Amino acid sequence: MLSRTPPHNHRRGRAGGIPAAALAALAGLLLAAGDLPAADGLALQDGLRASLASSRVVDRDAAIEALAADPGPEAGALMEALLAGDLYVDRASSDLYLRDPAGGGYTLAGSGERTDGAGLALRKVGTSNRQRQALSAAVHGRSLRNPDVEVRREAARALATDEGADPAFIRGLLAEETDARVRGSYERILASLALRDPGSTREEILAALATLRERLAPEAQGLIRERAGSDDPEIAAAARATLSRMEAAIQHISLFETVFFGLSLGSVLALIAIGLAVTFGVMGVINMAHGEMVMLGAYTVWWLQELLPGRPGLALILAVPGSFAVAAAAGGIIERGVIRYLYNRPLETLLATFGISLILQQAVRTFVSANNRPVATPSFMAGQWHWTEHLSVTWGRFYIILFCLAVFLMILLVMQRTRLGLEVRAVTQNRAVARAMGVDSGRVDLMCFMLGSGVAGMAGAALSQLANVGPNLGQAYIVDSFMVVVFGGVGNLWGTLLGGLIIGMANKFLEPVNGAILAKILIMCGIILFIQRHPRGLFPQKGRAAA
Amino acid sequence: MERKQAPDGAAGPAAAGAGEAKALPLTFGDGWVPKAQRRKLYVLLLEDITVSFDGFRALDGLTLYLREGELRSVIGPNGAGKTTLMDVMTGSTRPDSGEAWYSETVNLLEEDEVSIAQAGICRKFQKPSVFETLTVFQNLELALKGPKTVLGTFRARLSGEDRDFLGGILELTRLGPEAGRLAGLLSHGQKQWLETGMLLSQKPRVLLLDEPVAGMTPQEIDRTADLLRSLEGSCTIVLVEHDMEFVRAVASKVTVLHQGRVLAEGTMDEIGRDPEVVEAYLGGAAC
Amino acid sequence: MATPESTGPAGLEGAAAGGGERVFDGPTRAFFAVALLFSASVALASLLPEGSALSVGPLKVSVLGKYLCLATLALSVDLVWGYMGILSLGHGAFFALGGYAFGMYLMRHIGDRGVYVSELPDFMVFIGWDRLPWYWLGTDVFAYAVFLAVAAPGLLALAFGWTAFRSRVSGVYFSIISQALTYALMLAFFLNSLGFGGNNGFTDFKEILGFGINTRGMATCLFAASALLMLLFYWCCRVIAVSRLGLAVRAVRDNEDRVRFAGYRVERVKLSVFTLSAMAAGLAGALYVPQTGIINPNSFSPLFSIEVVICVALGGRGRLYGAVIGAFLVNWLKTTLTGLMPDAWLFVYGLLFVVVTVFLPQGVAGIVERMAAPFAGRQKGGRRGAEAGA
Repeated sequence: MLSRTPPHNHRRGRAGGIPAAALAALAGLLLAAGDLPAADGLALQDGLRASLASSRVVDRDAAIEALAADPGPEAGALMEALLAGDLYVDRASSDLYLRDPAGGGYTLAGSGERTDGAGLALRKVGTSNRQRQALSAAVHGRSLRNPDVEVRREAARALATDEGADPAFIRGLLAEETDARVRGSYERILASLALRDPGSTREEILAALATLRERLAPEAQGLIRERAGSDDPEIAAAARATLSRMEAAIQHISLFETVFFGLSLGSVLALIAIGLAVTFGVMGVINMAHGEMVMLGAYTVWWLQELLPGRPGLALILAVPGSFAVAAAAGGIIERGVIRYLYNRPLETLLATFGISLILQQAVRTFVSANNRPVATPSFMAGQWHWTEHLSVTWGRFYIILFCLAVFLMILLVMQRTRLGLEVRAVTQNRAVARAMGVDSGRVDLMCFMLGSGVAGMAGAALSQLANVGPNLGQAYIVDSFMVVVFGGVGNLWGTLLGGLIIGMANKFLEPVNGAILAKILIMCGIILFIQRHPRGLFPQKGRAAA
Repeated sequence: MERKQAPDGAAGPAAAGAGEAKALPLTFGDGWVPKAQRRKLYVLLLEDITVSFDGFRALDGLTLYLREGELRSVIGPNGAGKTTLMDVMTGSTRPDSGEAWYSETVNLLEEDEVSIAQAGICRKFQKPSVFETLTVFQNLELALKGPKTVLGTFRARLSGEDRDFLGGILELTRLGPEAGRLAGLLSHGQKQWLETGMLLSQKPRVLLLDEPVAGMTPQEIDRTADLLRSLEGSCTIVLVEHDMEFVRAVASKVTVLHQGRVLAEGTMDEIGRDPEVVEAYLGGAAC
Repeated sequence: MATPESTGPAGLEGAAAGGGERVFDGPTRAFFAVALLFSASVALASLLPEGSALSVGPLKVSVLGKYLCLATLALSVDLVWGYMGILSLGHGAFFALGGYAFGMYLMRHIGDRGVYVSELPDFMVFIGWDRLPWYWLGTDVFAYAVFLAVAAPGLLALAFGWTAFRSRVSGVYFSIISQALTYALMLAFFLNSLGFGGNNGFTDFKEILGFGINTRGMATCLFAASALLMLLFYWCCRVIAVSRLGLAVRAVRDNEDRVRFAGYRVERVKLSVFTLSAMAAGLAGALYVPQTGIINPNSFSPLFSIEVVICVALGGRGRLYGAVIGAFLVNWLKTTLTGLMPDAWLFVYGLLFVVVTVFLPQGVAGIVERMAAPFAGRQKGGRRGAEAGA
């Protein structure tokens, strides 16, 4: 007689640790999750408001001066709004409103109240060029003197694109600055300004070119090119040298970016494909509705964001288990309702699941909307991490790569370390014998399908941050994920991961050369040719003859 | 086992050059045959065949010679390499080293499965492999020897001669009454015969039979033995079997495989007395 | 399933393929009778003067003609799927290629009656081309356009099939790859730079061989041609099915390896049948385009290709007449439902896929046969049931 540890105890023991850890992680993430910036509270003096609301230029000049002198953050916010053209005044009450460029609503300066502007006679507070210059200097000046070095770096970078910057001002800042990166930005800006200035001497130009050879300044490329055509041979040579250095550096950067984008796209593709590979390996069925599982996951994010307005970050985090649950549930229904009856008929299953995909797409179109749904990117995803002055990585994409890898590892663990995983592997290799050993293959099928669908749902949640969320989201990625399965083979999860990453990178590398569409076409042709030598993919399935 | 001198008086092993000094298992009664004449003499020639799968040696320097018209049994424990041997003969597996020739001119290491099948080596599988949605007669007709190009197949018509021939096969395999029945509806034993019939339809020179009586009733086994005996002489048969009674009933010569090489060759009685064979395969009791 | 009459010496005689089974067996005769009757009556009715009770308007005639073209496409899919066991999810690509080939002819014959009053098609003028690209040369000649409609899909099938079959890609893998093929073509044809009209495709046709395209006479002609093509291809498929090649094809579906060991080059069999089917699909596409008045890259969409498969599945595969029935049924359903419930029809459509595959594996033809079985039992009933392979 076989003695078996009852599965329940096994799972219970393990289950104890997991929820606690999850809760802790969740708490940490919640703390970090960003929200939309809360509105300002401000006690504005009436005089200031009146000046800004006034139609007289001198009044507004005075107001700007006053704001510039005010070190407080509220004044800074007002100035930024004014500079961006987002400051409005209500003609009736002279109240000032800050327009929210993302949502289109307005915030009342002074109370933080939000309104959509209905019933108010709002007039934009205009600025002249000169006023904008002054505002720019003031605004930048604040940031440039901010004790937080990151703020200064950001501001210095922004200053580079501001053509109206005053060299003397910058030299003054340079003298005070301690941080190397910010100093570098200033030197760069000064060099560009020198090139731009028609009154620069020869020595100044050569010095500027030398500086720019060390420091990448993409915005100055045009200026340098001009100097490359100069009559003075030394200047021309220096300019050309600088240019070639710059182009090489830019190529490195774009290579890095391409690799990074490719990885983020590829990791999502791999995640989508894992579900397909698992179900195909275990059950021999290709689920044409798999793309819709991805779509459901993406819609879960939208739905949660609708439920929790103003907290897109929290919604996104909750959507991770949420999208898994929704997609897994859908997968379970499909498996029990349809696929179970088509056992051993893979081609029919393909067709039936295609019908289901049509139904799901139409259901979303009918019950939600036929149009794309907006999904907000929470601030913790939108930020950028500047590796060096010019190489920056969007946090969001970075998190997505990590997320996909984490999920992949989790699946790997499930497959290698849990009882379910053992049963799945047994059924994959030899269903009949596994059943003879007491494995409930029907339950394994169901679990597999739900797992695969759930993972696809999570991939959809990740995808919601990269692509538009609409009823056709699934269709856009399903052919790609099929390709990943065909290319990577069904024998090995690593094959799927590798396949997804390679295809994602190939997509991104070919895009700039040929355009996105031709890239896709080339990849498909490439795969068809690859299949010639490896009909079962990179890591073919051993043991059981695939359909 | 006897080792006689070849009638044509070829020089014995002593005169052989280097590389021939190794005692090769000789075909019964032939003695040593010079290399140049071997391919003419033997319809199937396998020399020093080695096949490895991921480090496991399925065949390890195997040498086998078959004369035309022989009925040779190949026996041995599981894992001895019998199926791999057949795979090499049909071109399904390429050996890592060695030589394999069919009918003097066909290099089994270079031709593909289809050419080899067209050239006359036909194989019957362990599990009966027939076309289930075609009738018995259609199964036989499809296998019928003839031009097997796409166009040739399209234009093929059954001549009176063909019909008689197929009728003969139906009689031989006792499937006459079932000619119009779907092959999928036949019993296990009948499917085995149908498959054998299909092979006969191909008018083979060499028949490879992989456990043809597995799963058959005693009567069916007897009938199969009759069938095989009636074929002896008209084509060469290689029979892989575990059923020793059956082997004794049909085969004159037996080759014993063990761990990828030939352990012994001879009649059933002779190998039954060979102590090595007894130890490796037949168990303590002599057959 | 075999009745006593089919065994014994009589069974032996009748059981052979290249002699016993005839091209025009019972079901085929019935089908041809119905089809010819139907086509003739529609054609005649369309020539009656307008307004009379039995006349059929050119619009309706065109719709029926389109159904016939789609039926031919379904037949081509049945040939490779029902008979040979290869599920191609990209056959719509061959149809569309044929359509585009003939479409080029039609575009050339708009001549200077287009918006831009130029010998070049409008869309080319619009994107700034001043010359016809090389692959358009000769498409103003009718015979060449027809040839292209057969040759282009044929060549594609040859190339694609050769790469796929040679590496023994089969089953689900092949289906996915074929879908990728048609998807890639769809993307390609959407590009404006390709010279095929981009997302607008070809439209606004004026004439064929000098005859106006929007006339009653032309509608009837095209209808008749579609019917002819369908019947001709049906006959071709029957001829193949009753030949020994038909046996080989079905054997490939059952047990490919055994066919190889029987001495057949399975790859060549597959390739020949696949290419033939693609060429028929291309021709059907060529006839489809003038009856629709437009062709655009959506014809390459995976959805369209899968629709054809569902037509065959619903009708009952492996029976040829099943494919035709299925094509008519599905397209009629589509036309009616999009009219009745434009929003909800995709639900019904999707449900159709599920219902057919789960509950009707033998399709409508299966139902018909089960009902007709008591009557047909006296003939070689066993074998006819055998034809209806899974």
